[in-house]
Amino acid sequence: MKIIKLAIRSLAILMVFAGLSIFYGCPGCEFEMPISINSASVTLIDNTGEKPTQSSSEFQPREAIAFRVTLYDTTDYYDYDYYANSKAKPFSPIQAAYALSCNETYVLQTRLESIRIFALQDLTDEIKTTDEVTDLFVAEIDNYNTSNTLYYTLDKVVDALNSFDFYWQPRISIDFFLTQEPSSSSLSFELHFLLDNGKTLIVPTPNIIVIS
Amino acid sequence: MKLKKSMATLCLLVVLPTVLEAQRFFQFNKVAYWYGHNRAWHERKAQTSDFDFLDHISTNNSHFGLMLSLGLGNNFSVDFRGYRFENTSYHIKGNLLYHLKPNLGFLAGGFTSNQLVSNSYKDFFNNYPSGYILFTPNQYIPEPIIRYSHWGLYGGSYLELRWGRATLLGSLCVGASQNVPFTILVGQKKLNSNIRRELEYNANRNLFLFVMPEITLGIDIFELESSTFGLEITCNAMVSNKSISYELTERVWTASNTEGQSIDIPSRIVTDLRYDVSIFWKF
Repeated sequence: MKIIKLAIRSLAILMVFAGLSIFYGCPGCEFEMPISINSASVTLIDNTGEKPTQSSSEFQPREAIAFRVTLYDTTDYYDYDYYANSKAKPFSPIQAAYALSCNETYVLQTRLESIRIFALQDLTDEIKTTDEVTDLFVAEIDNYNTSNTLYYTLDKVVDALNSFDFYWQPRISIDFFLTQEPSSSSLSFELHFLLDNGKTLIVPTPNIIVIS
Repeated sequence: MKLKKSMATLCLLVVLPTVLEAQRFFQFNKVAYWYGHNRAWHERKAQTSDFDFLDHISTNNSHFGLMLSLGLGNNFSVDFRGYRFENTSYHIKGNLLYHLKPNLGFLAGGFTSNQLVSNSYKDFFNNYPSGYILFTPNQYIPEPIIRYSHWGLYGGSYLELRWGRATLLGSLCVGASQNVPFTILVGQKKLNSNIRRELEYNANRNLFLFVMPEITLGIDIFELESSTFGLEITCNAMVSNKSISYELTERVWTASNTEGQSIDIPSRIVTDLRYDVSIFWKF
């Protein structure tokens, strides 16, 4: 009889520990992931209508030269595994849960120092290949200040990006718009994203065929 | 709950004696409720490409209202009228009347009024200048309600004629009015181009003069002790020569690329007509 009572007490104590482990295993939703911009991709956009839309066409009207750059983190930091493992406690008999519907917030670890754009082909008779054309571009950040009508200068984009709240996805898209009509019929550009860790992301745009 | 009760008690203690005391100095003359309609006619506009707010102020709509007239001794009375329009705008006015004779006198008054700037202004910007369309950054953000508010003072005389149960009351006033500054922000995008611009219209304070004739035809339907119940038809016009000039700020591409100019819009004759049918109770 005594043995049975002892066994029940032991089991109860073990269940208390197991219950505590469940609390340890719960991930919660304070989900702040460190990310670093280390890669970029470029697509052309169609800005002939009211709003810019992604386009697969290389043809763009002379007054509507535009492209979209997406900056993102290719590491696995933002994997749920990373998060769950980070929450797992040593000696816990229960594995940490995988949170799949939290409001993920990504904290940018590397700051952007500057954005510079160079012409890879002649733009006009005065603006030749390799010339810097940063001042000829304006931009807007996807999902940033959605009530704004106007574009931003690239300096403002850099400031905004460094204070941007990354929710849901560790990536950001920036649309670039040329403010000057080119006289040539074919264009391409190279974008330099200088990061505060000393690295520079260099991204060439696809070739753009200018139509009137 | 306690606070509400305390406030109600305080109101009773303050308001009730005030009303009772005030009744020694004035008496209720008349109460009226009405339903009516507004219309406006604008003089044809001179050929200009500038945006004119007057073309987009919502003026044709129905209203209901309330009038309260109080007598102040033998020679003076005051009346207050409130109009509520179906599109949530309003018009409030108050008159002080001096009765020179029982059927003749002078009046002075003031009003404050607001009207909605209708969304028709968007049609203007959807193709002006050619090739530009209206740019709405986020369709989920509610559009602001823009109101054209103005206030005015006037003075004039009135004449009342009676034939049995019928009464004809006519008045003629002249006055001056001024609008309250307001702002409209318009975003535009040029088709087949990257160009985007933002136009900020800041309406100035514009002063204008007006003539305001009013005629009321009333008929007493029945009498109850010392009070009379009846019907009235009122027609009020405000003829003015007005314009809404403004400061225009144009921003192209970015917020830092700004240019401003003052736009003077030529004045036009505008006739606002208000007509209503009311029931009244005279004391």
